[in-house]
This record gives sequence, structure tokens and C-alpha cells, in this order.
Amino acid sequence: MTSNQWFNRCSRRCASPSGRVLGVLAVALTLACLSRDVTSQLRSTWQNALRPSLQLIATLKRRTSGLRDRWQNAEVLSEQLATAREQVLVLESKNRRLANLLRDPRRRITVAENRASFTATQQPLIVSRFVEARVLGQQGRALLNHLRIVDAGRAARILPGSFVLDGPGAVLDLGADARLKNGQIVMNEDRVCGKIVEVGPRVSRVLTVDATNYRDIVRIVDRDDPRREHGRGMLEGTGQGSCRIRLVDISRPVTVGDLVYSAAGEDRLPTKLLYGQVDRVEREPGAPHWDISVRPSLGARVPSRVTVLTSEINLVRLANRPLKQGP
Amino acid sequence: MQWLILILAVYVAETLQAALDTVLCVGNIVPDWFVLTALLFVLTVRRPQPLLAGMIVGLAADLSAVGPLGLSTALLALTTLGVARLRRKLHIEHPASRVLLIALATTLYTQGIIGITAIGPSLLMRNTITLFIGAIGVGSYTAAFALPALLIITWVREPRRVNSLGAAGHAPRA
Repeated sequence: MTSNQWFNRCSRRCASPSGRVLGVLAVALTLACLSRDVTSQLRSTWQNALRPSLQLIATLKRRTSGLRDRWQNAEVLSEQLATAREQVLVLESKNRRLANLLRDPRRRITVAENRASFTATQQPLIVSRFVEARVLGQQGRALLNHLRIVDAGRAARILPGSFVLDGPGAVLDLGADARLKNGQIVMNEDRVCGKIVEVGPRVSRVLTVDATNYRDIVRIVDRDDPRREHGRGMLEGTGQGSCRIRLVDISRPVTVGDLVYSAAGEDRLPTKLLYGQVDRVEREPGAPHWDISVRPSLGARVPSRVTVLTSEINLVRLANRPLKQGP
Repeated sequence: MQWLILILAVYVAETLQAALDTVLCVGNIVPDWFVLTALLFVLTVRRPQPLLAGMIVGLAADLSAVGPLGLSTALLALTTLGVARLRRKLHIEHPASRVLLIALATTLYTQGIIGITAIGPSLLMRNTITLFIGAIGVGSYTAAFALPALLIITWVREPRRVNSLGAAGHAPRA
């Protein structure tokens, strides 16, 4: 047998299925016989080749772990939502039961007291109260004068409140019985009429804004922009149907048409109290202050119905006892 | 081209093996992505060379494992050879029968690997039964992943097959 024939026979055997299987087994045996160093070298090469994909997988795992946390948070939130819905149902049933209890008047009073004590600390310490009053006309004054004469002769000879009928200004049909006091502002629809200067048990006397003795601190604001204040000064009645404002520095930009508001009660009233409008602004040569003339918004007359602005301590706050502090 | 696809598939299988082992582990049983790759290659490629494909995938499995080299190479080559012959003789083309064949082949391969690595004086009958049940579990678990993979491969290759039949003048099969 020549070498060429031997090679051809070997090639045919290797191409047969059994030869291929034998070849595979030979390769496997060769691999199994490799030294440990070669094996570890092959494995490290293979692991290095796999590193990019493993890094990608690690990155994806980090991202998905964030998503998984969000998903778990969503599950927790859904559980909390279910619990909250159950609580809402319970509270609704309680509300229905309480509404049924409130139909009983006696229980209603108890609930109102509890509510008042709860909201007491949320209320201001000083509150404003508006007292509606009527201005007595000539006939009313005449009647009271007649009563004065009768009462004075019958009992103590002096009728309390008799002094209010004398003197200038309007007379209101409310007095100390309505807790009116001196200095309280009398107004009509946010416009100042005057101040109470004398109070009797049943009646009180009002000094109108144009009266000679009338004085009040006022604010002068821009006509177009009420938030711009042009100055503060002392308003005085002239006794001639108008007022004037003193002590306004000439550096203040006061102009004709500016509005004049009361500075009293501005910290606790929802609206501003209007005195009138500036109708003349002058300055004496060398004088440091403006001479401002004001036209009262109500004129010299007093409406038949007025409102007295009173300030008093909030009784709800006084009734609410402070909590006891620890030692 | 098919060998390039096989190498890429082996790379992906190794990545899946490393990434999803902890996720897909059910009672110490995980799917064998290498065997699945080799068997899918043999069952879906028109003219496969099963010995060479099994050797390539088996070598990758050996490099990923900690045991001696050559074991998976030989066993997987023999397994793919047997599967290719069965496919040719029995005309196994239906996905369900292919899945059954994959389950059987994976079980035998795993049993062979376990039997060779665990052979020794400490191997008891109880351990043998446990390992055999484990091999069946690995085979079933791997076959479970084979079904969607086969469906996807069929879905991807179907338009190409229809186009080739149409270009050759044959009417496409319904």
C-alpha cells in the first residue's frame, strides 16, 4: 500500500459519521488533557469577551431595580389608598350618625359649644362691632325734652342722658345701653359722619366731621391708585361745612382729588373709612406743611340711619381658658 | 452566515445564563441556555452540521463551567448529532414534537453531565434518583423556553421561505 492510498483511506474514514464522532471525542479528550494554566487562560479570555454584555446586564439590573422599587411603592400606595377609602366610608357613616344626633336641639347646643371652644383661639383678641343706630330728628328731641321735664320732677329731678340733647351735632337713639363710648366713629356706608362725644344711658351725641372741635388722624391716598399713600395728617373741622388737614409735610405729593381715609381701625376693618376728597392744596410761604382743604363725602348733614363702629375684646377668647403649662 | 448566527447565539446564551440564573431559578433548577441554543440551531437550520455546532456550543459551556474542558463539548456534540438524525428520520417539523425532542435531549445531556461528574464511591441510589429527577426538571424547564423561541424563529423565517418558494415558481403552501 502506497502512502497515497493510505491517505485516501484515512480521509474516507474521517468523513464517515463514525469517524466524525471519533474526531469529536479526540478533540474532547485533547481539551480534557490541557494543562490547568492553559484552561484558566482560555476561561479568562472567554470571560473578558463576555464582560461588555455582563456590564450591560448589570446596568439594566440597576435600572430595573429602580423600577421595581417604584412598583413596590405603587403597591404600597394602592394599599394605603384602599385603607383610606375604607376610612372614608367609616367617616361617612359617622357623619351620618352625627347629623342624626344634631337633629336633637339639646345635642346641637353641646356641639356648638364644642365648636366654639375649638375655634376660639383662631379668632382675634379685639373685634369690631357695628351698631346700627337712628338719628333723632327735631320731633324726637322735643319728645325727650318733654320726658325730661316730667321725669325730673317725678324722681331725681335729673334724667340721665339729658345733656345729650343740648349742644351741636346729631343725636343717636342708642347710648350706654348699646355699649357706646366716647370716640367711637359714626359712619354711613363706609363714609365717616363723625364721632360720639357724649354718651347717655339711652342716647348719645355725635360730633360731625365739619365741627370745630372734630379731630382725627387721616391718610391721604392717590385717587387712581388707592395703594399709594401720599401722607398722613391731622384732620380738623372748620365749622363751615368742610375740613382741613394739618401737619402734612410739603415733601409729600398731595394733589387735588386725593382721597382722605381714616387711619383709625385700618388694622382690623375689612374696608377703609372715607372722610372726603381733597379740594384745595396750598402752602404759605416758608411753611413746612401743606394747607389742605377737604370736602366731606357726606357733606354737613347726617343721614337718618348710621352705624357706630365699636371695638371690644373678644369674649370668645376670654372664655377660652389657656391650657395649663407643666411645672 | 449560520455559523456567525450560532456564535452570536452562544454569546447571548452565556449572557442569559449569567443574568437570569438567579431570577429563573426554581428549586435549584435553571434552564440550560447552551443546550437550548445548540438544539434550536440543529432543529431550525436547513443543513446543519450537528457535530460542529454541538462542539462549538459545548466548548462555550465548558469555558463557562468550572469542571474540566471537553466534557460538554463531547456530550453536546453527540446530543446534537442524535437530535439531527432523529429529525431527519422522523421528519420532526411540528413545534410540539420539536419541544418534546428538546426536552428529551436536554434531559439526557444533563443526566450524562451529572452522571460523569458525580460518579464515584459516594454516589448512592438515592442520590442517583434525585439527580435524575433534577435532570428531568432541567429538560422540562429548558423545553418550556424552547416553545416561544421556536415560534419566534418560525415567524421570522416564514416570509423568507414564502418568498423563496414564490421566486422558484412554486405556489406557497397554505
